[in-house]
Amino acid sequence: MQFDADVIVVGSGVLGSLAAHSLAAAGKAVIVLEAGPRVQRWQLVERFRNVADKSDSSRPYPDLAWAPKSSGGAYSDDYLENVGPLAYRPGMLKLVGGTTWNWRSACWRLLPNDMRLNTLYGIGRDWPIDYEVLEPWYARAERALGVCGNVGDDQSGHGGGPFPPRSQDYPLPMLPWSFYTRTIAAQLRAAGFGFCDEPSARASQPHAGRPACSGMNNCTPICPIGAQYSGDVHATLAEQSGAQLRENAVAFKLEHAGGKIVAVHYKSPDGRETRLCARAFVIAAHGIETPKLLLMSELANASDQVGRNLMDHTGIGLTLLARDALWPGQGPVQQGAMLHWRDGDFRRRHAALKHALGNSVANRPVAARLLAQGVIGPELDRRIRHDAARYVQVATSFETLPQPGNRVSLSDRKDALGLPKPRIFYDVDDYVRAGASVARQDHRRFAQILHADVIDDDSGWRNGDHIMGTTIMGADPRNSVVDGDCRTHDHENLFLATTGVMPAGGVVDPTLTGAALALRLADLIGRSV
Amino acid sequence: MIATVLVAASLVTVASSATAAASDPDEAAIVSRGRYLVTAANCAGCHTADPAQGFAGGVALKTPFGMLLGSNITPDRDTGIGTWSDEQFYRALHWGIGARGEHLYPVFPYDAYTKLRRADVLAIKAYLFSLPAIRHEIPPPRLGFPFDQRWLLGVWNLLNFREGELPVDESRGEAWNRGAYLVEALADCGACHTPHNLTLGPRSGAQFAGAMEGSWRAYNITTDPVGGIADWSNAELTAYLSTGVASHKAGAVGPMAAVVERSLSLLPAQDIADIVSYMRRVPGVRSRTQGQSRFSWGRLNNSVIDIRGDEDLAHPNGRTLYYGNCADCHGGNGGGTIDGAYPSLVHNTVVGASEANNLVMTMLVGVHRTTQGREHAMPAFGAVLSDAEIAALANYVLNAYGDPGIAHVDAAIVAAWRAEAQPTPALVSVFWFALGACCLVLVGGGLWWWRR
Repeated sequence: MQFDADVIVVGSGVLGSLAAHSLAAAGKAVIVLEAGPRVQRWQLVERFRNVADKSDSSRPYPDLAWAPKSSGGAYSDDYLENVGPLAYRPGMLKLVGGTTWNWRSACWRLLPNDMRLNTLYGIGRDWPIDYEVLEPWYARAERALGVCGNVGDDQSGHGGGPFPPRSQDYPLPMLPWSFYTRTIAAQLRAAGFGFCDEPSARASQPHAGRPACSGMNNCTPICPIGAQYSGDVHATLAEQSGAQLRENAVAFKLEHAGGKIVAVHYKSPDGRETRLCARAFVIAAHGIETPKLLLMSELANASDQVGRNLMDHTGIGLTLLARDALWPGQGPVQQGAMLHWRDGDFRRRHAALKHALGNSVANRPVAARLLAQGVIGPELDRRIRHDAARYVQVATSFETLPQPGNRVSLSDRKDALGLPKPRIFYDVDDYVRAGASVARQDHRRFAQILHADVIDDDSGWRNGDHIMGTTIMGADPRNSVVDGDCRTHDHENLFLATTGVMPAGGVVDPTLTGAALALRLADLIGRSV
Repeated sequence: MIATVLVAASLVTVASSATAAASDPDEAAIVSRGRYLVTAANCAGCHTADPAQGFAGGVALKTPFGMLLGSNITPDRDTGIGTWSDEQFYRALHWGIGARGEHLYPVFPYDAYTKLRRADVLAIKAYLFSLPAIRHEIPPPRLGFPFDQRWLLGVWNLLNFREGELPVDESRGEAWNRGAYLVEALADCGACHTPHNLTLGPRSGAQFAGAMEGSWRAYNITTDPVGGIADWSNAELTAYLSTGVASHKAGAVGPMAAVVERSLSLLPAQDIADIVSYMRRVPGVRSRTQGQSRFSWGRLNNSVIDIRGDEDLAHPNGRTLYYGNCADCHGGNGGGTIDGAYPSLVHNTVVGASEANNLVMTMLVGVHRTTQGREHAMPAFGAVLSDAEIAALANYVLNAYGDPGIAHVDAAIVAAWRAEAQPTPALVSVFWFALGACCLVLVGGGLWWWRR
């Protein structure tokens, strides 16, 4: 049999590119297929500046017939077909480097208890592997992404010593907190709330060719100087290590024979089809497109779990106008969080949750609100200055549990290449709703502590952009898609590098966990192919 | 030929008189002195390619002769200098003669090191011999004719080499004399900053007047008020040499950033003061191309409003490239940050130079400089932008913040600089080729005559 490559990786986002780089650096012949185009940072920066509507952070990114994203354009606004009670429209970009072009780069680790939910609290699912297995890969992922953080924090939210356990310090020291973060953290701590630095993939000092974060507060939609990690870093490194990257190549079918995957088929924008063979395949196409590709190919699904168990960190928001000027918007858009509901026996009764303190420049929402109230002229200027200095945003996100009914499936509607669009059903359950009422009690306390007027405490459910569960990991092939190595139960040479494999995601952003899993599976493939 | 004989003859003299001075009771003090001298001379610049393998050689040195590799100067007996006697070591630094009696290429600046005091040369050896021996074979240089003819270096020496320790000038102060020793003998600032003559030796009457170093420009550092550094304050010169930055004026880039990082920033403050006091009395040489001081060009200039909503990102012009790639650090108006952490492009000595080399090279390879434990970095844009885009961007920056008179960089120039392709000037090649050919003819003719 003729092989086009040792390994083919579908998707050039952070996880696919990490795997591709790792394999290419180990001397493997690697081809990476990317549905979207290659775009330079400066082009995205200028697109962002030129678009009038800054409210949709996906707007500056490519909106293409063959590579639609989850919103922001003629091809993208109706790409995801939502049929459930909640419109699920998580950030999803298609271009070389993937969705981490537009993220806040939070790089938390899971807690050991997050991976043993069922055993400890009788809810959800356990991971088939332990934290100890993942720990060295977390350390490698932190080095790869250049994560800065405070090694002394108890990230379990219990106010104890450093936790979770780690074999190595953060590769970069934590970024200094802005006046806003410092002031609010001090006031919350004085009232008995813990406040913890958020580890992030931002270069707090020059790192691996990236300049230090200069605090432009433009982390989303795009870090203009590349101080914040984005997947293109490892896409480029993979290419430099010999991987071949094919852009505008939309994988639409995996072909199997005798239990193994033998080929992947992709379409070019003009509809032309190409077939490539390899010894192993890594699907790293994000939590929605990965199950979609498996469903279209009708494989890896003996368990009927592909696309099911869609989880997110669905959240609610709180917006306050503090008494004192706090000047949000200096430094990164998010610097810390309150984690007192991150882990504990309460998880038997309600969802764990995290309150993240937003630190975005507030002029746009402040001005929109004032204009809606009819404020104009010099008074508008005065009020923008006044309110924007006091605008406090808290994003509270909840742990969700795998529910088979929350799912990605194939829509009857077709995209420009004739491929089915994703159909999504998503709802929150009583476990999350119970968590939300606990969160709202906290919200009232925050308003009191900051002597703040509440602008909005009824935001409705918000997408967390953290797609998990759709290709769920488990020890039992009857109820899960991949094993603890991210290898599909049904096909020994098919691996999934996506946060979609996570059977439980706690309350923290899953990218670092996905990165650790991607590096681990690449190492495994590298030793066997 | 005559020169070689003379050199060999004097070596015998020096050798016979030297052995007595070698031993010193305070070996540690000598090693410590040697370590300081090695830092001041930045030996690592050519002899350390991998910081984990100090002085094991391998740095690629692009010269007008061709490519050479820095040699292994660790005490390894097979691949380093472990078998060298004091005399052999002294002969190399003082005379430019290798252990087997061969001429060393002057890319090893023995024309400066000849000015070192003998005790200092031996201190350098003592320090190097105190380091771990690292086995690292450096292949011999392979240069094209006529530069592969080492004996021709005898001619070079005759024309350009003046043997002898630096004399102390009693009429000048101590600071000046210490500065002279640092500048002329150790740091050898002239190696980069003094232009070459036809024979690739230092051009007379033009010391420190500015020269090319690969694709980079080593600027005029004479006391000329327009071309040089006369209008820099002592504080600015001191800050620049010891940290790489003279705030709101200049930042060291390229090879100079490496010199500051590896050598100057590690020297005692007194040394920097001595260097400054010496450089203050260097005769001024006017740069022909420099109409006004490098730090006097440009003004704050913000044209971002002109482009919003009207950009062609597929065919960007220089202004679009500036706002997309540069403005986030250097400011929409070119003013940088107030604290100078991100430098202003206005009144900036790189942007305002009369050659675009360092501006373009900085865009291509970025800035990496760590001094006093603090790293300064600018990302490299060479992999992001094409030659034509770099050229357009450079011309925009030159028009907005530099000398508009040189804003005609094109893609071909950028490509050449990117490749660090500095062709040997045609006249230089012709001179040496002709010299080599003449000598061969003379020798051949002599042999023929003798046999007859």
